[in-house]
Amino acid sequence: MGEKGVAAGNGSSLGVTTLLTVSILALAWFVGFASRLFAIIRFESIIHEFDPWFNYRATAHMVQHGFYNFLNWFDERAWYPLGRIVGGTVYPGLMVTSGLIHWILDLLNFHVHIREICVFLAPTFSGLTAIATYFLTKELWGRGAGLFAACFIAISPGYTSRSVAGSYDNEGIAIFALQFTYFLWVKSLKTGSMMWASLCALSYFYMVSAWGGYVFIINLIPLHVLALVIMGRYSSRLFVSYTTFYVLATILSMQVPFVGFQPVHTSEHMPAFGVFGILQIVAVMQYARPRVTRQQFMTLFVGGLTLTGGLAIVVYFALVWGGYVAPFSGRFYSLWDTGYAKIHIPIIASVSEHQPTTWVSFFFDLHITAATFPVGLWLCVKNITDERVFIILYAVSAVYFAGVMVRLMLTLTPAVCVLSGICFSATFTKYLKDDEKPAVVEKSTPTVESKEADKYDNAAQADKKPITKSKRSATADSGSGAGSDDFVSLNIKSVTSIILMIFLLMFVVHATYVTSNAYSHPSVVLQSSTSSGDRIMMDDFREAYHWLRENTHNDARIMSWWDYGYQIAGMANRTTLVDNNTWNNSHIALVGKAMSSNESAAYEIMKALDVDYILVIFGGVIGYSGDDINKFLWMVRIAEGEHPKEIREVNYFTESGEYSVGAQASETMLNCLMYKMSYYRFGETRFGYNQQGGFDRTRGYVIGKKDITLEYIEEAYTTENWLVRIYKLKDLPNRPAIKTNKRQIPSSTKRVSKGKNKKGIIRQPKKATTA
Amino acid sequence: MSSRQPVTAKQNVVAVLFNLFDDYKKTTSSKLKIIDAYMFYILITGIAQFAYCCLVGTFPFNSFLSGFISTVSSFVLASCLRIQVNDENKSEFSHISPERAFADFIFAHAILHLVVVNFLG
Amino acid sequence: MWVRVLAGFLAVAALTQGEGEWKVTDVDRIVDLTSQVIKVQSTVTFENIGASEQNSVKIVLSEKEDAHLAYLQVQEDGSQGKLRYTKDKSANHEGFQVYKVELLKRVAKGGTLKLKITYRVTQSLKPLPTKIEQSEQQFVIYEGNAYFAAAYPVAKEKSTVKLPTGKLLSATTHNPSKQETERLTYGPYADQPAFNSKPINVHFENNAPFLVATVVERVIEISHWGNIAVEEYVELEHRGAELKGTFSRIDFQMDRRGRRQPAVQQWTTVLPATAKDIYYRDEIGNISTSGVRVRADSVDVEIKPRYPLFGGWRTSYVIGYNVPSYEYLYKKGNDYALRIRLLDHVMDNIVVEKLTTKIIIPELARNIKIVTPYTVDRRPDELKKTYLDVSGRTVLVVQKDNLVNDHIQTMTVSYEFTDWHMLYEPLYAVGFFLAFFLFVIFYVRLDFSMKTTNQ
Repeated sequence: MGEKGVAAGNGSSLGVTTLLTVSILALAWFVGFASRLFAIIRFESIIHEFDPWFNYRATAHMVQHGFYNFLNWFDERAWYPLGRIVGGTVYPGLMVTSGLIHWILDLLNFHVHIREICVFLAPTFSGLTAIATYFLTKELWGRGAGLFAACFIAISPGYTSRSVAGSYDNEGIAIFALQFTYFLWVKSLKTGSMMWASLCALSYFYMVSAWGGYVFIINLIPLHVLALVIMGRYSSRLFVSYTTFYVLATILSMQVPFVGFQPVHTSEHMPAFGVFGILQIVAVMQYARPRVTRQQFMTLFVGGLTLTGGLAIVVYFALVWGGYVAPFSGRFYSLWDTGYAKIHIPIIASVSEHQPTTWVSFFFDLHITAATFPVGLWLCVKNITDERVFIILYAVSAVYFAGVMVRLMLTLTPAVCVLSGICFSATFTKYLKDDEKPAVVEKSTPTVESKEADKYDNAAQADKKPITKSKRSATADSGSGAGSDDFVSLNIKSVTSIILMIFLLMFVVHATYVTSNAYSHPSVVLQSSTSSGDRIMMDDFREAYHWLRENTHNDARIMSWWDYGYQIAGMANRTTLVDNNTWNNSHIALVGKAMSSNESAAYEIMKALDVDYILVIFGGVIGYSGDDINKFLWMVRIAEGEHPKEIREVNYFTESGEYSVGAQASETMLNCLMYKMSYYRFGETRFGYNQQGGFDRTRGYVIGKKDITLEYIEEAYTTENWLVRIYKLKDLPNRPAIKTNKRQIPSSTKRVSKGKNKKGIIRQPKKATTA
Repeated sequence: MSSRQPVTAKQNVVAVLFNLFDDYKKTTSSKLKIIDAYMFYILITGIAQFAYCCLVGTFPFNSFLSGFISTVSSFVLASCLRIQVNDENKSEFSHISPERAFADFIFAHAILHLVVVNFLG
Repeated sequence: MWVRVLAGFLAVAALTQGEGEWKVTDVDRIVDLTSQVIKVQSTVTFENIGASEQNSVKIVLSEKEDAHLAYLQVQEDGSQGKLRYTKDKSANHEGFQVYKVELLKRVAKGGTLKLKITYRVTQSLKPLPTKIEQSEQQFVIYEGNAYFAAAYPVAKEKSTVKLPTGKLLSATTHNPSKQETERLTYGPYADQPAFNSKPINVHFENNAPFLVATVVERVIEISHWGNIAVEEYVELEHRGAELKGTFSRIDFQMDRRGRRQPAVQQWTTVLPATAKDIYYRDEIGNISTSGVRVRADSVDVEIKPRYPLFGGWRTSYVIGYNVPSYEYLYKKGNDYALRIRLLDHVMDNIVVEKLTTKIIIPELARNIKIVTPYTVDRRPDELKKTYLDVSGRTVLVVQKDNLVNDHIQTMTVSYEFTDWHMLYEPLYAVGFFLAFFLFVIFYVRLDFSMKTTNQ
């Protein structure tokens, strides 16, 4: 669809092209925005998942107390009793962005609740991402490719997954910052202008303030520079753009409190510095080369380079050894060695979004673009220029990282969209070029924006000149245009075009389907359906959090697994012991130990930690698979990592070495706090008259021990579907437990039986322990 | 382009450097020499700062860093300016006039010094 | 002039007439204890035994009742008009509070007067035991007076106490008194003196919701484009017997008592019949468990809180809706009048501890006046700026403590507004877009390149 825009713009009226470009981008924005609203329409305007709750809470705090108080905010409600210096441990870009929008709207007397801004921020920025992608691709290939890429990124599921309405997370704005930084980098490389490089540094600063993934930029750009130098493509423009970018970017990135002195202290940032040094040397060489003879040059070159190179390595290791520069972090190593985290840092390995990507999810997230982007890559390799080296490196490294970690699929998606845009653009340029007959063009009508396509047809037919776009005339035409000389019959052209159109349509259908079914669940509210097809909302999480908010005293301390820390802080407004900002492994291990110990040992730990309430997630009644029993092994593992004497993972397995809570479960398992809290009085429930009591729907068998008595804690609240169970620590540990000996015959109530083993689509949560 | 001098006799580095210096004195325009003088001055400042940090220490680190980085940045930006206004590179920077280059230079400096002032603490 | 002075003098003379001028000939008192609010209705017949005709009469409440009195209404039997009353500090008797009621017309010597006295006392039924377990019933104790307290001698009286379904643990007897199912009768007693008192205690089962709205904030926003938006923020607390020990979900699920258990699971809020776009949420989002039933003269919202409310538990929520302004906003020339309820229905037999009602008047309205059906505390006006406002809208704020459902009455807010001021805001928007497009048109014609300036 975009390619024809180029064809039209080539002719008489620049205005028409601009109008078409603007309207296509506007439509891409709109479609991208609209397709991210499924969650709002199905559920409501609510913050999703786990991390967004913290971001929302921080934003609300900033809006209420002002920016400087936010930077100095010490949150005593998190990580009890340690607390958390929030201002110094967050990337504030997200909060500042929405705070700024809120402030501007307020200034104009549009009073919008900050929650609404947070909910709609990511969809809004997806439109900006589309525009940034357009500009990037335009610089790399051409306008047509740019429009394709913009349309792809607007609806690509890989990006949508992180930017649906309500998914108020750093990634939502970071991908925009990433694409825009890359665009400015390519632009500055092409022009060799200090202004573009400075703007690139500013954009990089925004990226640094928004997301930890900025490390990707600060390594990819030097890699690009290095590759260009090695390929013998050094130019003064490269020197100007990189050096300007690097010096400004370094000092700018140090302005973010969380980053601080890292750019000069950690190994992740050192390659950029090294390349900066190399570039200086190369520049001097370049200066000297025309002025001296070849032999002299070699003397200088070899002598100088080996000397400085050797010196640099020695200095680097000396600095690492001396502790001035931190070695690479564990998370970094786990990127290269996928087994590393499992052995050394179970807390990282336990996070579900850190799992390796499956092949299915590549197709699921990228669909047709996964198949076409190698074509774009090949086209770029074939018609190589300085900036195309960049997209090649970007794509190759992103593919690798996406394979290592599910969450890095996000960085791959833009590269794939850009390259697919190039691929489609190049193909259509060849196959829709209607220098003989205009009939082919008319067949291309059914695209995403069919109305737009109509306009195109008219415009394209009005002037049928071949495409000669000034910027890419030399390169693109030699590649795609090379084939234009050899004859392709009209029928083949039309068949190919139609097939590609069908692909595009399928992509749209797939993207919409995936967005609506897989990525539009807030995971705070669960959805299920009855046998008659009615939808049921299971609002147990908020039921429990609201209960905590209203019916516990204001500084009550809630112990739960770290997954729910942010939600408790955000929705229940209570103090938590651990949360999703998993910075203190030993504290988490202590909670894990309490959960996996027996009641009396756990009581000691909990008393020492001043715990008032304990919250567990239990899915056995409705068949929710992401509950704490399924995550329990990670708690044991993490606890074992810190307390190997008390907690042994093998003790929690059955004799045959399986993980089970059924009849064969080990004694340790049946006596640990987690088991007791999950299944307390569960044995009395029955789903049908002929079923045994205590049938766990998630696991699919009857639990091992039914008559559970609690001595040190008591049930404080259990939600309607038993999803969240809250226990209260008793004050007097020595008092004998009051047994409820009323054994009524349980009947299957109407409400319980309506579940009928029907699970809604329950997606793996992002920043949470893998079930 | 510069006039290349045939040097045949000495192969050692010192000679090459002398050679380069001679060449520099002959071929560089006065405008560039001013920039070079400026760069040389910055270089001296940078060395002085580095010596200070080696002798006295880096505390407070942010002040040292902002000072040192501003020196490095000024040097780099000046060299960029020098490259852009150099007639030898006219072909590469055909669309950037010397005035534009200077405006860019000022722009980059404005950003740099705003940040430095903020970072100085 | 002198006529008025004379009239005033006569009025003063009438006021200063002492007690003993009346005699109570017959009292029929009904004390309703079926909910958390004590509802007392007495039909009292007075006879003028004084020397002259009179225009005022005194009625008496015990001090205990007076401390928790939410609402008092005195009517002449058979007429709808409410009589004015004032506290009469001078005539106070130990343990009683006297009110003086001004009559509509004078009662001639020897004439009779039949009054209907209705009042509501809140938060006086004390749960006993104060803490109960989940499976137990809630019992409360009522402390009252077997006699009808009057400022005059009573010739004949009878009191009936209505009780809810459930057990009656104990009740003070005072002959002649009778205990029937859901009903106690005291009397008839004959020829009792004034300010007569015989304390009685009734200890009985009451599982009615003891829900107290500690805060109700009602915001009414008028739009001249045909809409009135109403939003209520409600904080509720269960003030009945507190839950002792644990809450067990499985016991709750198997509880066969249904609505008869002391936990409150749901209630109905009655909204105006024209209410639409109803939402029900709290600070963390929609509460999905609620239903709306449209009736002929109202819209009933079945409100289910996120969790059942046991004794001592709290919850809070926001309910909001829109009503068309033609129902409530009256217009005559430039004068507008809004007639809308000061307090609206939250649930049956609710006690509202603190009500704040805010009325947001459109921008540029002048001469704002408010008339309320009962005395309220008028707070300083606030200013609210919202969409496209320049000077901001005036917000009237009124407050009142201790309300019951009898306070659901209409207030009137009147103001002046020039109609074409309505057009300001659309014009702002149009102007903004015009300026924006002009700017774009201008901008694309400017040239910012540096090249043109040199060479």
